[in-house]
Amino acid sequence: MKKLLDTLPLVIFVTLIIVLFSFLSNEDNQLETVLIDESFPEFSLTSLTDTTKILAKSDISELPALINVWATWCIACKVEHPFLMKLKEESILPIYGLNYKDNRNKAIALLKADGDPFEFSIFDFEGRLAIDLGVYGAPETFFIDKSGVIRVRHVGVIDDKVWKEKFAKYLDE
Amino acid sequence: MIPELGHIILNAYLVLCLVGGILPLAAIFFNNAALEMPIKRVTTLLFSLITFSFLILIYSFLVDDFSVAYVAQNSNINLPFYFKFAATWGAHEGSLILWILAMNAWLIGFIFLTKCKNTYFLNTVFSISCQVMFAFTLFTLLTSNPFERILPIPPLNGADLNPSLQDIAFTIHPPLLYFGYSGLLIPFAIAVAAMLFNTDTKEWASYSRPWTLLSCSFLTLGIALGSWWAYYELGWGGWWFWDPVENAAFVPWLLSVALFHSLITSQSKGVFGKWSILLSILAFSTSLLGTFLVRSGILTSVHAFALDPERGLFILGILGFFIVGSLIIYSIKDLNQDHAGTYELNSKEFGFLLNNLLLVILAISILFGTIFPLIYEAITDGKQISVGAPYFEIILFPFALALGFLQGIALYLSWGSSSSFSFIQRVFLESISVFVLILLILYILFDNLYLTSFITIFLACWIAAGTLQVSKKRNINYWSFLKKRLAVTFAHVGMAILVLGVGVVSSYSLEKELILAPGDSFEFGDQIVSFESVEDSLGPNYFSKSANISFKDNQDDTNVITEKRTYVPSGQLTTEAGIIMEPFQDLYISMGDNLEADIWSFKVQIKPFIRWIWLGALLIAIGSMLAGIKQIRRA
Amino acid sequence: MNPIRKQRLYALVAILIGSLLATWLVISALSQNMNLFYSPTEIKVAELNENTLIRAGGMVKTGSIIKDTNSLNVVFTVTDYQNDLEINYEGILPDLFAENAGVVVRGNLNTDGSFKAIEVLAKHDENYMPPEVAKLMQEDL
Repeated sequence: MKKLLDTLPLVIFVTLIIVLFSFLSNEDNQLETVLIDESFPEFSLTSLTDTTKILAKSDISELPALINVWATWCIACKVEHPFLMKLKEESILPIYGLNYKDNRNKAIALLKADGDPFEFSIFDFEGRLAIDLGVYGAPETFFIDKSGVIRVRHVGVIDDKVWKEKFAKYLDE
Repeated sequence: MIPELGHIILNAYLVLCLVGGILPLAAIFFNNAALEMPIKRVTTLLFSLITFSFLILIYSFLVDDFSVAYVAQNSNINLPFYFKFAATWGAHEGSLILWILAMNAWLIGFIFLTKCKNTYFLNTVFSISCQVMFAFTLFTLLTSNPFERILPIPPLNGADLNPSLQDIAFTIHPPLLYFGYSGLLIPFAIAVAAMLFNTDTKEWASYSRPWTLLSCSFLTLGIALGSWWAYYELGWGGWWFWDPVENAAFVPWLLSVALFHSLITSQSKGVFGKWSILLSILAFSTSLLGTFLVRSGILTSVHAFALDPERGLFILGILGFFIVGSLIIYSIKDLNQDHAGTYELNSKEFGFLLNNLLLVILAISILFGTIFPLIYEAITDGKQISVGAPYFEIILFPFALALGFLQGIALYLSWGSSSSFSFIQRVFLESISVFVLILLILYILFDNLYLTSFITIFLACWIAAGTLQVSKKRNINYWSFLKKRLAVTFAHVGMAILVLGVGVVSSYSLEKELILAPGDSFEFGDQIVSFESVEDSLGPNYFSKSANISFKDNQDDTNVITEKRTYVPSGQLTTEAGIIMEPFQDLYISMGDNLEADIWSFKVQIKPFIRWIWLGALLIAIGSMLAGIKQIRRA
Repeated sequence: MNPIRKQRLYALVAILIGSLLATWLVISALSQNMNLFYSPTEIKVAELNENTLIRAGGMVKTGSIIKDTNSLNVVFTVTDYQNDLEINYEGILPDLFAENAGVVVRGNLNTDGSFKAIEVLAKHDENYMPPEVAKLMQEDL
């Protein structure tokens, strides 16, 4: 009886930890499984720089490529911007921008001021393509392979380390 | 290369912590003196390493080294230097380093100031602390390295420190809180060591007591400052929101208060030994749990750090390892902790037992309310709920009432059994007279009495009377007696003042939201409030609209400024409230929306006695600090 | 009775009374103060009593914020990109409230299907929406 009482705190705590753990791993899966290994969704949206030009999936023609979700209101995007510029300058692979819930003029101004690493940017004001992609927020980066399939998704700032760990191996394939 | 140096030092620290976490225990286990470490020197070395690494991080902030990702994300070239300094612990990565530093500082204090002849015991406490510090450092290096670089092209300006954190109270609030949290490591490590060696209750309780008191003191200060910061910085005049992060600090505070009360009994009478051990583990684990809830982003909160399940998993791992580990020892080890001693229902021991029971059940109920949304979501497969502030208020009230009642008579109780309860009559009469006096003052000040506040105000009087009158049962000089009981008097009177503040502010507050154009004025309580003008102004890293408001009553006319700031790099808006502090009330105004041209909406409030809440908390902190220092000296 | 046993009995009775009281308190307080979270779509589907206090959330629709210039009344639309919900609020909006930002409101439904908010929370950090709103967007896939 006495021993049983002594194990009670242990039992309660282990239960609590298991509950919290199951919660965390749920969260994790939700984020990771969205659209991985599926082909990039169809869309029809205007170009950031040209309101009359309608872009579609077929415009993402050079593959493999990166799709980078960005916005002027997103601070972390500014942090990763130099890295995207570097990818562009070293012509490692083409990058397509997905301008997410943003102000068109501000976005164009930002690219003018800081440099434009993108082949073109899709203007997704209502976040329609972003919803299809399961975007949580900005920045996020997707890697699309030669056949147009999403292989990697990265939430947060992309830099040298993330590139090496998560993306580089797919580029070599 | 300087950030790399910081990174290397942090790695060295990690290795040394690992060695310190294993060797002394191995020395005891294999009975091999060759494996022993000079723990005083090692602790000092560890402390210098982590301090050095922290200084390097501060340096990176001060020189605007935006090639360091953490600096780039949390600082900006235009940030004033003192905020650059404070930005070091403004976000997750840096605050972890500060946390480790704090744990190490406590360990130094313990190792150097504890007069314990049993080197095995000291070495074990050292080792367990090293293990915890190792786990935190590993966590930092693997998931949240503050020295990580953005190469090859660093950003030119850096993002910014969250504007609402650019504030003087914020520069000191987190360090105090981290010192409070991390201080609970020492009682935890002592409790584990006590279990391993089956140390005598009176002995280990005397080692543990000062550090519990000191951590409690820091926690009190940290929480009070946080509440004060929320009061004037968030702009809405609330001082406690029952936000998950606040609860995450409040629960360990309750448990640390319970723990040092229980340790008093353990040290004096040798009873409650096992209970004190369990409570030490619980207090430390809730402080870790709080970190977990905040840093994993699974609970919504104003303080939320960026969402990151991986970090959450890691903290959960640390939590699991140490808590489950210590609870396993607790459940299998045959602990023979209690001295033979008996006590009656009217004894001091039983008083402490009730105090602990109330505090712990209250803590568990608050913790339950805080994590209930998670449990509910897990059970119902994704249905989301939130638990509102009224839940916590409903829970808190009866417990606070019972605790306050107990606090009023606690100091009269004697060990074993109390011979007489005649003091209750006296305490009651005295608290009634103070109560009437306070009501009279309130009536003069505010022309009104609210029945709802009576219970709380009476409770405050009861606690104060019970604390201050305690000497009269003996025939000695009142002041010299009070001096001897300085610490407890400070803490308990502080609690009375806090309760009084809460009671008055929750019934006597006035608030009004309205629209004003420059030149408008209106009557509010006994004040005439006028919106005199609004102008543009410029700060180092923000521009703002500032409104000039005057408060006029029959004696004086005071002007105050409230601002709506737009911070430049992020474009984020913040409201700076205009506050006029008077001893008995705060006049509080904050700027709302701009409706057209110079017409603005405002929220005006009168908050009587609000300052007494923080004053009370300050006295509690001073009291427990004094008690802690006294215990260290005596040990 | 042996004094040690008596002592244990006291403690046990105190613990029992304490925990029973606490359990009762927790259950009654929870049942009154548990606010369920609904998305605009869920509100449409669920048949909600007008007096139930709930929380709702989504993104604030661009161009939907209408502020009254003579009073503190404000009307705006919250959307989960499938359905919209009109929110009425009287009071000062938080600093982080903006078009296209995530928002959580607490209040109850009016008879006409609009929502009367007694509290508006816009606690997002700059990069992410509130977890509830973010999750909502995920579910819409």
